[in-house]
Amino acid sequence: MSEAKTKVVIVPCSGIGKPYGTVSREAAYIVTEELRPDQTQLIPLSLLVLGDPQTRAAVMENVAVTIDGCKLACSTKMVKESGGTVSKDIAVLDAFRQHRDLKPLGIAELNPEGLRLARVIAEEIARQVDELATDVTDSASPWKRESKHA
Amino acid sequence: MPDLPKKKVGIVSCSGEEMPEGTVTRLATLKVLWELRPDDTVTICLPLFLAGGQGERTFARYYPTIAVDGCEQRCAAKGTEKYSGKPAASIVVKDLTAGRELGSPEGKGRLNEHGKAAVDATAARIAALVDELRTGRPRQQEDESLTRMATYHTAVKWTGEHRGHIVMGNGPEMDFSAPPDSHGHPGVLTPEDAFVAAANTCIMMMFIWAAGRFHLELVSYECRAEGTKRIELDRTETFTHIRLWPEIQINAGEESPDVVEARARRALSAAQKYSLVANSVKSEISIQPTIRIIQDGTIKRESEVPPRRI
Repeated sequence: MSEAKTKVVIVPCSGIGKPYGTVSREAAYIVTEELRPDQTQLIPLSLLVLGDPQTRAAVMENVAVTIDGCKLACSTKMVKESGGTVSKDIAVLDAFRQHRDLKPLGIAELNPEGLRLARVIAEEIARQVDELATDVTDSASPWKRESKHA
Repeated sequence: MPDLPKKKVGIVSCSGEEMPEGTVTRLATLKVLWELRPDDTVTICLPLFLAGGQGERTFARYYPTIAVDGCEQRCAAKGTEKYSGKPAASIVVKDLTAGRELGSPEGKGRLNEHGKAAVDATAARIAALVDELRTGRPRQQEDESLTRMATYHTAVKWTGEHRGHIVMGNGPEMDFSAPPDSHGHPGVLTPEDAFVAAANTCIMMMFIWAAGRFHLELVSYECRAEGTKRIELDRTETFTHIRLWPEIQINAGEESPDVVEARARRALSAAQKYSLVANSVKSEISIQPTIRIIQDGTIKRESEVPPRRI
């Protein structure tokens, strides 16, 4: 069996109607560009839904962390419908409920509280990525999907 | 009355996360929505649209849309066409920036100067397309096909002397007369009061609608209105003016009072623009609001906005 090379795909909703959608986008950037750039891959939701082969393959062959700005959970729903495995679905609203002092404002540009909330979420995702990486080294891990192709 | 106004244009941006042009589409769309054409546009949330949001899909089916994409994958245009119908217009930021030699946008989360210039150029192009779609001759036929009609009814009956009884289509019924200075009776509805009330109530209802759209936490709305009648030498009469003095209180929550007040003014402007009654009468209507912004239980700002005429 080959050594695990799996990345965690990060799929934010990037909803444009409320600041929570912008928080999801910002959190995804922090994880994929700053905290865990080598272990994660950013996935544009629209490309996935419209069937881009490379994007679809990335979601099929890796586990996903979804970040949703509202209760409609578009990102989680679409990843599941596309055949992906969601290891953790993060709702920005839930994160805000746990950090009431970090009320995000501004859709085009987040206020400092919104940026801090995005970082809190990003750090939680980074922890999840680390846990998944540990799991990958365990050959018994049920979500070690790349083993099928190894 | 508070139906969606006619001729709104929906903007669908791809918001693609993996390239700066995706961020350009997002920021340009918001610039049009908030600054350039706030009264004429709505945004359609692409993830919700793709995930099956019926409101978004229905809007895009019946109203003109502009798809704004970052790259040649054209997710916004393809998604709109797949689920609702071909967009009325389409923009690809990469083509637009290349055509104008604006330089290459960099930075996905934080755009560089080229990216900011691309936002301005894209927003200006969207705004021009919005104007074209709302007013251009080629769209005339399609716009007319989107027009809807509605009818409202009342019934009156003479009850003797200068008195009558009216039944409104929405349920209430009451006696009415003319004003006492016009051979009528006191204490009942008069056509003059009903006319002034129609403008007052309609503008209030549209403001409530606009306050919701602009995410304003409305605390109170009170409005005094006055109609001025001119009596000509031949005794024909006309309402020449209707004046309204709304007093509006809004809770700013944790937002800046200045920002909330600016949004309240925009909401009032939208209410005036879309008031059915205001649009239907030939009297000059002027509105002189007092806006109070409350924060932590105290009034942080109080401003009297100069009269605006419709």
